Amino acid sequence: MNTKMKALYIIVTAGFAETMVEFIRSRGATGATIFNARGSNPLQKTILGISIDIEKEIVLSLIESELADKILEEIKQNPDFKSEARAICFTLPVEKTVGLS
Amino acid sequence: MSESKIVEYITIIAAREYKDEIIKLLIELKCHLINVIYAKGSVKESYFKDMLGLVPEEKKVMVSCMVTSDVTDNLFEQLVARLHFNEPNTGIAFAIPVDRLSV
Repeated sequence: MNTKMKALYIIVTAGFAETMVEFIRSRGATGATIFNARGSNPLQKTILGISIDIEKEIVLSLIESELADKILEEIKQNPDFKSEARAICFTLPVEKTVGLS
Repeated sequence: MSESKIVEYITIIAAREYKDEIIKLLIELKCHLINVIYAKGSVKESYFKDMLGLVPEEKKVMVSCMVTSDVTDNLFEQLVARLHFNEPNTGIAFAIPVDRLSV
């Protein structure tokens, strides 16, 4: 069990998850899990009773604490992830892990 | 759940074939708010496999639930014993402490 890890969650517009995975892997992350989500905001449009949702993808990666902070900062500074990808990222402290060999 | 106990948010990521076994285990251990999400994973591979496009991108399942911290260790031990999470490319699980909970 390792406690010096953080769970890095990155929410991006659908289609940008692969780019994000490549980016975090190039910065030292070993693996990532991608799952689909949908965004919601106050300006959400409804046409004929059908709401138009914004498709999102979430990238989740377990990364060593210091590296997670570094990657988070790099994503924050990278203009490519601010515009189209609309990347939002946050980290959560991981208390216990299993399966990370 | 008693307020004095620490609650943890557990996330288990494994191949989809383990889904039923994981849910069975979580029910056995009386885990709360079990949630199943289908996901896909990608892990770092060697340079040559990368060049050949052989990066393993598997269909995964991500199961999350809430447990009291005293159950977490037992749950992780069971994941190792039953699903061999100690071996590479089987699955991972982690616990995040929950600050507050309304029940």
